[in-house]
Amino acid sequence: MEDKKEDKKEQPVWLKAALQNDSTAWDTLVSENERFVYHIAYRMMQNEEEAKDISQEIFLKVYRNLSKFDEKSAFSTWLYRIAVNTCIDALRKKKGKQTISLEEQFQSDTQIQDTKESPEYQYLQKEKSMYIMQTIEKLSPEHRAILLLRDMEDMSYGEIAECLSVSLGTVKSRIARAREQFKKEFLNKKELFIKKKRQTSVKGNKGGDNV
Amino acid sequence: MKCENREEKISLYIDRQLDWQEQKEFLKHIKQCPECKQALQQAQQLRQMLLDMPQEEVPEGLHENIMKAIQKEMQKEAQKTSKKASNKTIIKRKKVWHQYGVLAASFLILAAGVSLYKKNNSINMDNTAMQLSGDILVGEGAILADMDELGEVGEVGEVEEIEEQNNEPFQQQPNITQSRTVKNPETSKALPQTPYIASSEPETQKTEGAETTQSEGAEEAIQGEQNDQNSEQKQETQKVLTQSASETKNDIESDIADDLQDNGEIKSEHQKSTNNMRAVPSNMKSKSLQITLKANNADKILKNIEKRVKALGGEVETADAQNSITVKVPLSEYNNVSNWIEQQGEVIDKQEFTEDLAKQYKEIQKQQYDASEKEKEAEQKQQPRKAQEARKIQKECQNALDELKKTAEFATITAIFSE
Repeated sequence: MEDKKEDKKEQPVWLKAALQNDSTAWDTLVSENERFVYHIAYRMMQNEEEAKDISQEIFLKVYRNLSKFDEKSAFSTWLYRIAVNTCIDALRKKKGKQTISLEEQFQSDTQIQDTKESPEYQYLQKEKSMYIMQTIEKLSPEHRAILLLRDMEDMSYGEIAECLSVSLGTVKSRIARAREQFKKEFLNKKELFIKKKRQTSVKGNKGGDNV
Repeated sequence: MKCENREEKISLYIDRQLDWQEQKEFLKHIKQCPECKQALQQAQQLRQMLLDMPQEEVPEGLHENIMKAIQKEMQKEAQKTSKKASNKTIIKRKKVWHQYGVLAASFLILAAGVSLYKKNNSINMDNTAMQLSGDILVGEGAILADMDELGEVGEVGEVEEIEEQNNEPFQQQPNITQSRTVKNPETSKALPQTPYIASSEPETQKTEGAETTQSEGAEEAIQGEQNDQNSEQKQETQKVLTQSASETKNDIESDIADDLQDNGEIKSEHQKSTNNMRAVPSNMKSKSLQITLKANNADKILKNIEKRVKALGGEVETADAQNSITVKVPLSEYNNVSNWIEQQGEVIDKQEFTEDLAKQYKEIQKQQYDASEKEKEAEQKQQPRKAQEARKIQKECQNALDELKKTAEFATITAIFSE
């Protein structure tokens, strides 16, 4: 018994109550984690609607499988694992299906947003984000996931290994390959974009090719 | 260091994953190689860029939607547990039957579940109930299949496959096919929705037919819910079925001939045989109650129920779902306990079911009798395997009868509290 306890990691206070289906505990669980779940979902799926659906799906999976959580890893790692795997599965299923292009999304986003930053700065920031997102879209679900965990969530190699259930060696080589792929796609994209910019006006309400 | 594996080295360097020696070499190389230096700078910039990506705002309403979905799931689960509890005795019996392939009887029992299930529906859900439970099944199947990929255990995911495989032995085993076709219409007769009314009703063919199809649909729904419990035993069933199918392969042709004959006679034979059998014990009824109460201190009441039930020699079956409890109490204490529970809050809904086990009991007795006849016949014809098979069935029938007797001694009460 005691050995087992030692294996277990310290867990959030609400975990026990959540296992008893306590609504308040679930409210806390969701509140504390929805941000990063949505974050992962959005960056993996690259689209708000899907990200919302996937976030809900992820929490339902958590609900249905919480009793199987062996507490040997941190709750957050377990949750990350479910989140990432759910997204990878969804991406595999989605493969080939057409969705709203990021560029369209980007255009509508830029029109709505209004903050104290100067419009030019905002535009550039948005443009950069779109670039990055479009580049990520080119990566395989696995590369997408590992880049997200390492370079966006800044998780350690050990955490990533646990979260993706792979060895440290795999994490090392996969991160390197994902970054290499990302760089290649990013540079391609940049070139294309510069060419396109020369052809169309910078004002560019309809700068993108509508997929 | 050479420029090969450049990206990997750079990646590891950025993340401080190189050991001291490797790092020293790497830095030395960078100083001399402009290409690698540029690549390193690019890599660092890209990482920084990714880290700097602004966090998206969580869309409005997401939290509420997630909570709604979870609560819906909690409700489904609570309903499922209460239903499972009231069907538990049935499942238990089913197990025994499944293991030995006497599917006729299991079909019967399932249909008994249907009548219970139908009633449960009227309390818990509206007409879409069956569709709903279908959804639950599909949802869970998918989830568990997904979880399987995650490296988690997914038992339910296997069920479908096993069921499909099961179809084969169904067709190969003449015994079963025969029993199914014969017993099907009997089922609805044996298990009326309200035993008292139905027994006084004339047995019209039309209603029987209608009930049978209905019960088949519901059977699927129930099976769906019981899948996770049954998956293991189904596997076993399959084993047994396949085994016996191959064992009796040689006898199959003669079996089919026998069965065809039986098939025509079985109805009248049934009437004869039931007369020949021992009497059914009195009070072969299983009682269950589902009660929904409005109360503020549900937790306390749940604990009190548990205490009281244990003191009376009963047991708690399930208390895992929020605000609901299912208990078994000796039949003699049923009124006492149910009255007491009613006083604990404002009764919103109360449904009492009485399942008449006598007919099931008779059916099983008949199976037992048939098996003993088969045994005699097989011994006369010097077919030891068939005789052994028949003896096995008889023994299992006896176990099932004992189970039924036990079931009749306890009543099941499910209490659900809403605030």
